[in-house]
Amino acid sequence: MTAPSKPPSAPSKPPSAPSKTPSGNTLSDRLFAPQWAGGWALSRVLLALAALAGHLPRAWGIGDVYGVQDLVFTMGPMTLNNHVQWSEGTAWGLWAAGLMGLGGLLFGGRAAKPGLLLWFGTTVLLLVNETLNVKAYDRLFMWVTLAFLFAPISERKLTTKWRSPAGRWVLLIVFMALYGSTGWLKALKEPTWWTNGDVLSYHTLHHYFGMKPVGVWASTQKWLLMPMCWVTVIFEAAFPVLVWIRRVNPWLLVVGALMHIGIRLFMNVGPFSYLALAVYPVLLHPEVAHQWWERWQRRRVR
Amino acid sequence: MLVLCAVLAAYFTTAYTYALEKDIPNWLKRSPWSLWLGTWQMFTHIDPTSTIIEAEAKVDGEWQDIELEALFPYRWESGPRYARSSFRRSGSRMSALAQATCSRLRVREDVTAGRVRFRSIRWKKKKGRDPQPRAKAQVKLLLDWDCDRSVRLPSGEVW
Repeated sequence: MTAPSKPPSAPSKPPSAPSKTPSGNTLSDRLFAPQWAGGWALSRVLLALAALAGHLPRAWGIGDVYGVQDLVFTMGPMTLNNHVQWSEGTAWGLWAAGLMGLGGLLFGGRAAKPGLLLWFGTTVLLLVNETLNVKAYDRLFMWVTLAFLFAPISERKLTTKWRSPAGRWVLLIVFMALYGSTGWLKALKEPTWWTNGDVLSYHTLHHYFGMKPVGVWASTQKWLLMPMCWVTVIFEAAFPVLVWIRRVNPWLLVVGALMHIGIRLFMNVGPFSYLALAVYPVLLHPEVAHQWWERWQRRRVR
Repeated sequence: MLVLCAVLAAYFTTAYTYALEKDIPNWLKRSPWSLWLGTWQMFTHIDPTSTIIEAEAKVDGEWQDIELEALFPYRWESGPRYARSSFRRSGSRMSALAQATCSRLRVREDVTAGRVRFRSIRWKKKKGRDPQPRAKAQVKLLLDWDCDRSVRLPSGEVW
C-alpha cells in the first residue's frame, strides 16, 4: 500500500538522486512517481502528539459521559446506543487501548499503522457512544487517518527514501476541501470578514472557547483584526490553487502555520491547530522539503 | 488509488457545493447526514451573543441553584454538551438532562429534588470586557421537570 512501485524492502533511491522523471508514461505512472518521503517521518510523530492532545483529556469524561447510561442519545446514523452502551470499565478499556495505539504510532515501524487503526477504532466507539460532540477535529482526524494508511509510515529512515505519493494526494484533497470550503463560505456568506472584523472579534469572546486575555484584548483592536480576517479568508479560499505551485507552496504553508498558531493563541479550539500543523511537513512540496533537509544536514555536518 | 482520489474529490466537491447553496436537493433533505463528514464551517458566521444554561432544584419546597458543571463536569472546548444550541432546543434532550439531573442529585449529592428547572441566559457580547457584563440579559425558561416523571432513553445492552 505504501509503495506500489516497489516493495518496502527494495533499495531506495540515493538521496542525491531525487526522482523527477516518471517511471512510466501512463497518467498513473506520472501521478504516482515516487516522491521524497522524509516529511512523513515528522508528520507521523506530530500526528501522534496531536491525537494525544485530544485523547488524554477524554479520560476526564469517562465517569461523566463515555461510561454512563443516564444521559445517552442517538443522532442521525449514530444509533449504537440502541444496541450497545459502554460501562465505565469498558470505556476505560477503550480509552487505554486507544492510548496504546498512539504509543504504537509514536514508536513507528511495524507498530505505526496497527497503532493508528487501534486508536482510531477505539476513538470512534467512544465518540459514537457520546453521540453529540463529534467535533470538526474528530472528522479531520478521520480523513487524516485514511491518508496515513496510504503513507509509508511503517518504514524507518524515510529521509533517505522515495515512496508513492498516494497518501499525500489524499491529504491534499482533504485539505483543499477543508480550507477551500470554509474560506469560500466566509468570503461569500459573512460580510464582516471583509468589512469590520466583528466576526473574529466576537469569536474571541465566546464564553467557552474564547475569553483568553489576549483574545479579549484583541477584540477591540481593529487594526489587528482586519488584516487577520483578510489573510484568513484569502489563505483559505486560495489554498486549493496555490498549494500546487511549487514556488508559492512553502510561503502558503508559512501563512497557514501562522494562522493556526494565531487561532491557538487567541482561542481554545482543542487539538485542531495541532492536527492541521502535523500534516504540514507532508503538504510541503517534497522537492522543497528534500532541499531543506539536505541543507540542514550539510550544516549539521559542518 | 486514482479511483479513491476521484471519489474523495467528488464527495468533497458535492459537500462544498451544497454548503454554499440555499436550496438543497431532495436526496440531501432525505439524508442530511450524508455530507456531514465533508462539510466544514469553522468560525464562519458572526456570533454576537453568549448563552449559558443554569438550573435549579426544588428541595423541601424551596428552589435552590444547582452547579450543573459539578454534576456534569466534562466539557469540550465549545462548552458542556447541554450548552449546545441543538441540545437546549431539543425537548427530548432537555428531558433526558432533567432526568439525569434528578438522578445525579440523588445518587451523587444525596439530595432528593421534587422538580428541576432549566433556564437559558443570553447576553450581547461586549468587546474588550472580562468578565462579560450581563446587563439586559434575556432569561428564558427551557424546561420545568417533575423528578417523578421518566423519559425513555436508548436502551442498548451495557457491556
